[in-house]
Amino acid sequence: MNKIILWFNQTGSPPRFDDFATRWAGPSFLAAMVLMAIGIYGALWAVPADYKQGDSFRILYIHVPAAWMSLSIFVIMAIQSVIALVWRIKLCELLAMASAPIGALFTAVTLISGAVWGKPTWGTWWTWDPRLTSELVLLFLYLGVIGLYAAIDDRRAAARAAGFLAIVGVVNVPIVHFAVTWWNTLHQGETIRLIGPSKMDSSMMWPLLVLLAATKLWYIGSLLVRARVLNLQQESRKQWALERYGEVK
Amino acid sequence: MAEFRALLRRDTALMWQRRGDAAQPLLFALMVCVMFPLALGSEPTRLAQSAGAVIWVAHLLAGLLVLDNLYRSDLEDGSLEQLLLAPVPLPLVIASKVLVHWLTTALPVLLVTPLLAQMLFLPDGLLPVLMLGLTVGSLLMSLIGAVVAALTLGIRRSGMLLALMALPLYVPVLVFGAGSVWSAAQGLPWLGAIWLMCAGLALLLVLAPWAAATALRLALS
Amino acid sequence: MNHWNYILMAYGAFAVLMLWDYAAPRRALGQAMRAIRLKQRRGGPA
Repeated sequence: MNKIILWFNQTGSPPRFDDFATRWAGPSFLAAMVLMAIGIYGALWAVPADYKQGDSFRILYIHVPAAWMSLSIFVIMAIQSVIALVWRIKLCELLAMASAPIGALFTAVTLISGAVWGKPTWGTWWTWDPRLTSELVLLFLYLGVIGLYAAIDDRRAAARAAGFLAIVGVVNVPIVHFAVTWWNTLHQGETIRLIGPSKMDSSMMWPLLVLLAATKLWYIGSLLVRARVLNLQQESRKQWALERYGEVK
Repeated sequence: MAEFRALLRRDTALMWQRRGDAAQPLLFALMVCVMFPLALGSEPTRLAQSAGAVIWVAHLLAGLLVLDNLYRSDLEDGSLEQLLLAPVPLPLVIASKVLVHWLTTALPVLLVTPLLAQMLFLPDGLLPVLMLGLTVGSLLMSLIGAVVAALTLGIRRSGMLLALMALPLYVPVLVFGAGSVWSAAQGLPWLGAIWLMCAGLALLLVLAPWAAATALRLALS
Repeated sequence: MNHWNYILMAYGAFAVLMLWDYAAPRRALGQAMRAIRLKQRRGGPA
């Protein structure tokens, strides 16, 4: 346990984090892209068409991983913010703030792919049912966090305020998740369960699992790059940054 | 408790100095309710269908626009920082502020709501549902607003950002509140939504002043 | 209506947004590194 805490503490120092992020962002992205290629190939060609929905159900393979990420990134952002606020760890501030735009993008993908899937399936691009509406509210919450972070000049105070908003807003995540069980909605119920049998046939399942993993790796890669940028912006006057990125003397 | 009464007296006295301002949210809500017949056309049945929703939105928007005033005057003359250091618990300070703020900005609009309902031809049977929902809902919105306003405290020209941050958090209040009016109009059960809002109110009466206090300390640190 | 048009739209939106997520931080990274060089040129460490 001590080794982990030591590693975490050390990685938290700005120059060490810069090293860590530089080293691992590329491989994360690479792994993510490889898995995405495999998953998308599976989604579009290898898997047979659904007998009820035809080919349009293939959008599920984009929609579900994006939705999953939109929710989990918000939770991670909130957890990072709690750590940042309680223990004042600068790295967690950066990780929380770097997560926000990534989460917003995944939420946008969820909404767009959902709308595009809804048109051939239900005949409409949009409906104001609880799940779709609360996912849209999630996007606004992400944008609120991003906006608040941008509006305050002091970067650390900004991260703490925006992090606080993220913590308040995390209430929406269970609403999105349980909307399909709490209300009678147009959106279908749970198809895939973490525990117990899922309703999807296993022959169609594998691209989904691949893409779920791929999007997670993408998040890690993107998070590392974005956090590295924030780190450099805040540390731009420090000795280590000038030595590492300044001009060769 | 003596401290709470002292805080109330202070905030009321401060509000009384600017009592003209209390008319502003009232007039705004009135004007929003005038805009809709102008936009929708004056046919009574059409207006009656949207009356509950329009009045809810008018309340919401009027509340958003005055949210900035909650801490503004104390921030500007430095007393907010003093209050932070005072031996009184900060959540209590905020609870007092929110109460006085609600009494002077939301309550007037509530009192004028029957008039708004008449203007928009709300069916008479729906007025109790509307009033009940708005009473609980406006308190909820004031409490939520107190937290969000604390976060944007130091920012210049933060009015729009404040509104953008508060609106997503107001969505559940609006959905249940306006939804209860809609359900009642359909003849469906509507009291459940009100109960849910009351439960939320019970929760937020405790949580919101504490959260706002934390946010205030963050903003002023 | 041909379903593949919708599939293209959805996957296309995904590709565009992921591309943006890839490109924007990289651009910001370059700017941050450039800013550090400029600060050094102008005055050295604070």
